[in-house]
Amino acid sequence: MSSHPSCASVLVQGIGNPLRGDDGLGPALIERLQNLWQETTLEPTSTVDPDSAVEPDSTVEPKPTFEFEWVYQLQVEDAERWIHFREVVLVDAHLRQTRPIELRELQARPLSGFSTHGLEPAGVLALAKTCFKVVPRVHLLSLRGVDFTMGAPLSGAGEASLGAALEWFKARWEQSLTGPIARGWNFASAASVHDHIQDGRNGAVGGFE
Amino acid sequence: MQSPFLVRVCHTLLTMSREIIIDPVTRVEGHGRVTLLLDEKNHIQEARLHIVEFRGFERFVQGRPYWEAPVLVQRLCGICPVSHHLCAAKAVDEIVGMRDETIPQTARLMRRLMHYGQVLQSHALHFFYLAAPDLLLGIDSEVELRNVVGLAQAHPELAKKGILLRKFGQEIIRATAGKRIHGISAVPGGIHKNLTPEERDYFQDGKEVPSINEVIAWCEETLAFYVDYHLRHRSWVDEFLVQPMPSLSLVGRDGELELYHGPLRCTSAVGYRILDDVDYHDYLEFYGEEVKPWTYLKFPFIRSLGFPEGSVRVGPLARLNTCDFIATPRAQRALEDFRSVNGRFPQQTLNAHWARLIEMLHCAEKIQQLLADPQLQGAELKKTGEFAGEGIGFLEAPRGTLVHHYQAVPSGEITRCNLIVSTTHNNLAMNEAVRRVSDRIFSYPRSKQGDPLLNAIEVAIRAYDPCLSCATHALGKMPLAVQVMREGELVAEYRRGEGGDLGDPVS
Repeated sequence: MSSHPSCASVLVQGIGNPLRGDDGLGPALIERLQNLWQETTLEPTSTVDPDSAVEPDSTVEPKPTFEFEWVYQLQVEDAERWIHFREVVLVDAHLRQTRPIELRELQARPLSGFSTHGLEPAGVLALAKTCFKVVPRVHLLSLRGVDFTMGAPLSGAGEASLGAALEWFKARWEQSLTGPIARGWNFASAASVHDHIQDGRNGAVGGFE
Repeated sequence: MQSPFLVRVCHTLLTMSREIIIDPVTRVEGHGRVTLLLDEKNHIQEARLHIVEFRGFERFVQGRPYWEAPVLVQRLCGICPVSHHLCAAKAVDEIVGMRDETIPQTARLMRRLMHYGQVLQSHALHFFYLAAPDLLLGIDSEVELRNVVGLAQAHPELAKKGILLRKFGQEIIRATAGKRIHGISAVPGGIHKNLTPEERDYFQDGKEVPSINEVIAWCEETLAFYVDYHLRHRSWVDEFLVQPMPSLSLVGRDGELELYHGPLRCTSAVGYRILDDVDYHDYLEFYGEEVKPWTYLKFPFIRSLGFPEGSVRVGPLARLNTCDFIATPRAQRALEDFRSVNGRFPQQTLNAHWARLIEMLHCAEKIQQLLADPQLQGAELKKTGEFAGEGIGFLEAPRGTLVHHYQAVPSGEITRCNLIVSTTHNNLAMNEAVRRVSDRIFSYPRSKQGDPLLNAIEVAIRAYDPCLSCATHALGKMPLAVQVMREGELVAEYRRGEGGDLGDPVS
């Protein structure tokens, strides 16, 4: 069973409903990231010169590319979609976390008894593993939300979470696109959020606690 | 976790209260809550399937320009946005002086292709993800396995094909609606784009997605798999729940199965025509709506029969009961098999699953026919007439008859909106299904009233595939709340934590 396919792309998938206040944090981040990605001057540069006779450096990773999309909820077909990416970063609102953003890696596991048409991320991973024999690396970036009222705009806390998430993405892009990245490096890692917090690089919220 | 949770609730409630609440109903779209009211002999006096939240969409749409309606109303639901998109488009066609019969042929065929893709993917999702775990693994199987992951472990090839069938339908939607969700393609009087030859080839050559020929073969395999199961468990399927009631749906001009446009037919449980292919534009003449104080969901009924006798069933089983035949050969053969086993007007609720798979096959056949039609590459996409100010759209959504009705002023603002969704049509049928199944369960010895039997309530509801339209699913949003009531007073409340764990009681 392979851990991920041999491709450099990262899927960033926002989950939520923009009509439901902070439930729209995932879609809102995707929209901002798409714009940012189009505007970025940080063009990914290949670490391999195609005209060079020198063998590719096996100690560095190819530069990542990104795809963005937002969905209401995860579904069974996302299992098949995820297997085509090296990494998947899910973005969803979280009602009960205290920090504006948190990141954790997900593991495939059986579903809990409760479910609706929407599927838990861990269940999607389990489906990918069972049906396609592939386990993509999946992280969940959760954004603190407080108001999910129908028709409501993003709350102040939600806007702060959104800002924090954007800053984290920018920092990771800067690192991944401008310098060599070692073999085994991943775009998303829990340590990256921790480092980001320690560096105090998130001016948007003035701290994470 | 579900099992200890439900067992605990069941036992707690039986000893504490005359009211039993199961919250939420699992594996239905959105969040459902069931309240069972017991009489002094522990018989179910009344069953109430609550709709937790008032969506307010009819008011939300008022004041917006009518041309925005097909896009706006998709936000009603994350599962069947295409149905709302197309039904609203049919209604706003009429506001701009057009009808389904008068819009350009390319637009009509593109919309149909989108609709068949939508029904195919929705039926695939329902069967493989929601229904099959109960049916193929058994409603008394371990709760940790009785879901799509458990199904994938037991039947990996079946689950894989289910995922790919769903993906195929989603790709049809993407190609016709412009996007996989929240398409922007249907516009007043037509469509935004045609199908390019490259897009057509994408679905025919099988290089990137399964070809339409493979999809048809898989639909037939799935149907055969289910029929084999049904015949081996026929007594259970037949006896689980029988609900004699009228069936309502659109039909084709010749009486064939019709999912997109046609007259409205209502047939009694024994085949009597209550509505004999009437024009759906007259629906206000023969529709009534009952309101109950405990739910925001209305109870539509056929006025000539009154309430509750005029409450109807909609959806796959109703459609196979109302139609005379199916105009695609493989699905027609499947319908003949279905009727040879179940009779001409079957009323067994679980027959909806067989009916759903026949419809899935029909949709695949229709997609194959449409892909071969060069009119999909036509250039005339839109046509408008004189402003009419009012429009009514009826459509057979995956779960049943869907109604969109708008009035607008010449400057464009919508002044009135009436939506009747499939789940609303099935409201009484679902409540009655819960009551009948529950009454049987609670006549059993208490030692047998565990999770498998409580899940039977959910099996009955899931046969209708209700869409309770709650697209809020943020992590930690706590969709699960269990309330224990005694004579109207809350004596305990449980909430489910993130990741499916049942938290401690909060009161």
